[in-house]
Amino acid sequence: MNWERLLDVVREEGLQLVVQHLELVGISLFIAIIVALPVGILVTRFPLDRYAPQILAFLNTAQGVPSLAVVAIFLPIMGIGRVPSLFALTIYALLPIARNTIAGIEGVDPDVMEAARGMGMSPRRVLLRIELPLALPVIIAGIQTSAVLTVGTATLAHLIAGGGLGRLIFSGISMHRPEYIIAGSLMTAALAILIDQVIGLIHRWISARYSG
Amino acid sequence: MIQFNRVTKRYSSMARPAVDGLSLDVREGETCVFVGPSGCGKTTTLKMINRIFEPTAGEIFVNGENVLTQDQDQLRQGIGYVIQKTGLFPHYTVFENVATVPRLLKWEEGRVAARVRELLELVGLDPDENMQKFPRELSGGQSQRVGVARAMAADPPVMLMDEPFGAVDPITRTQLQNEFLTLQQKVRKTICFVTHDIDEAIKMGDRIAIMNHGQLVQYDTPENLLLAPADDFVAEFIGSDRSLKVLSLLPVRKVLKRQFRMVSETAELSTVRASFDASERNRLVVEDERGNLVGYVSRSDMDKAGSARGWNRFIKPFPAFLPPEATLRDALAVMLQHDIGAVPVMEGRRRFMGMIYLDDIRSYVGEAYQERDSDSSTQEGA
Ligand SMILES: Nc1ncnc2c1ncn2[C@@H]1O[C@H](COP(=O)(O)OP(=O)(O)OP(=O)(O)O)[C@@H](O)[C@H]1O
Ligand SMILES: [Mg+2]
Repeated sequence: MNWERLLDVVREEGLQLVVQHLELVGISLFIAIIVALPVGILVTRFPLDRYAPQILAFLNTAQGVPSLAVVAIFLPIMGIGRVPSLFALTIYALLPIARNTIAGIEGVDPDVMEAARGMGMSPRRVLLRIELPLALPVIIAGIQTSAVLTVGTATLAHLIAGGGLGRLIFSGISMHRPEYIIAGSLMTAALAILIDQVIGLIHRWISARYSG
Repeated sequence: MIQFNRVTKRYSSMARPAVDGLSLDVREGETCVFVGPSGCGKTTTLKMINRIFEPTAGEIFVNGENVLTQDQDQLRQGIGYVIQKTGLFPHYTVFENVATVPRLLKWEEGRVAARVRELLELVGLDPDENMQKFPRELSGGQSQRVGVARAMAADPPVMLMDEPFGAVDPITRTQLQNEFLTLQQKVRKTICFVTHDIDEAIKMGDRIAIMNHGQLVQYDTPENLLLAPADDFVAEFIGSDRSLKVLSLLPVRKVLKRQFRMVSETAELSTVRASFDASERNRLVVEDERGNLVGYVSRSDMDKAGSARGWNRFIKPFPAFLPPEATLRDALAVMLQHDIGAVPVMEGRRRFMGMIYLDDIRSYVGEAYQERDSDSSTQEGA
């Protein structure tokens, strides 16, 4: 194995691929949050709240579907390229966020809810002032899980011509160039750890403010 | 102030109604305590007042207005609500918790701040020390006080309290009960209070509603409840010591003797003897020239007195006194403790109001029971 080549690879293509990768992750995560948060909230409202436990169980199961399968499912439907990649990633990123939004809101102490409603707070105000702030640490934890997952899953985007660090890994495999594989994997791992740490920091800060 | 008009509540999961045809009237400024075995429908009853539950049938009026026709949130903002586990908002400070309803009502912040201070002081918490704390930094008793302050924040005329002191230790509980009674003397809210503890009910209630299987069994003052339980269920629920409990309800003034034979400290022995001869008691109360209480003398000591004023040597001070607000239970306790059959009642330190005699307690309570018994037997006959 040629370590010089490894560094060259990182130097030549690394930055561009990292940016591409981050774009994939950032955009899909952003859309996932925008979609999953309201959906999660909706599931905890009347009349869907009755089914919240079942929906939660479904989301947990769906999370078990391998990411490769998700990408594979979308290939025949949407073809290849950036948009299908983003779509598949977003679907995958939705699950932990929706799941934790529901679990977080359902987990708010029923006595606190009863007191809030019993004092004449409107349902809207209870959601904004009580439920969401108290569920926030759990929701952030969902986003954290989702982000780390997406960083890993985004390597598969290359398979449907979506770009990103997957390119290094998969061309390394096909060309029998281990330095490509190692460079791609290391950079992906570093990215995942970095994002995990940053969100973890936010999580701790929020928890300190909003925990009971 | 709060009227239940044949209110029934059924849950779909239950065969029999949780509350069954309840009619009852809570008067303004009174504390009505709902009490009964677990599952008898106390909480359900309470929660129908602020529409957390809606009745299946019947109507509830608060201040003459049907609760079902009012805006739910507005109704609730006008009703203080205290629950057992406090339900304090964990992410809000004590200040923010107490300020909840005033802020809902859009009070200006200066007024909110002043009110929060006032309330914390009212419930016995130092505002400066506690205002910025979070609920997790409070003890159980303190949390409960904040819960009460929060419920009273916008000065609602009506308060609902569901086992508010159920989750604290017995000492704190007694303390909170006493504080609450003092507070209620001041604020005179109309209160619906739920407990499953009959002693708490007797202590806190102006009126007690005893429930069983969703039905109102008896609605009466604590005194009447103890003296004349409506049926065996009530009698059993109150407990076999109900005659003792009644003592703790009756104030000493019910049997206070203001007029009785006394002797003056300056009297001659012959006068004292004459007083004993005219009385069937073996002890006489001694007063000084200005009518202040000095003590008592015993009949048997008079033979040893010798000279005309020598009897003064045998005057003994009373070992204990009672304040006018003491109960017959307090009086009995003092009598047993000091082995005396009479105890003086003093207002403040000096003003002698009269005497409590053991015989009088006995005959008073006995008569009270007899009266109720004959009442109820004539009712049954009719
Ligand atoms: N939300 C509900 N859904 C179905 N059944 C309920 C509900 N709330 C209460 N019940 C039932 O209604 C009955 C009365 O309950 P409630 O809570 O009013 O009793 P309670 O007198 O307050 O009892 P406790 O002293 O245990 O608090 C019980 O049998 C209870 O199981
Ligand atoms: Mg209850």
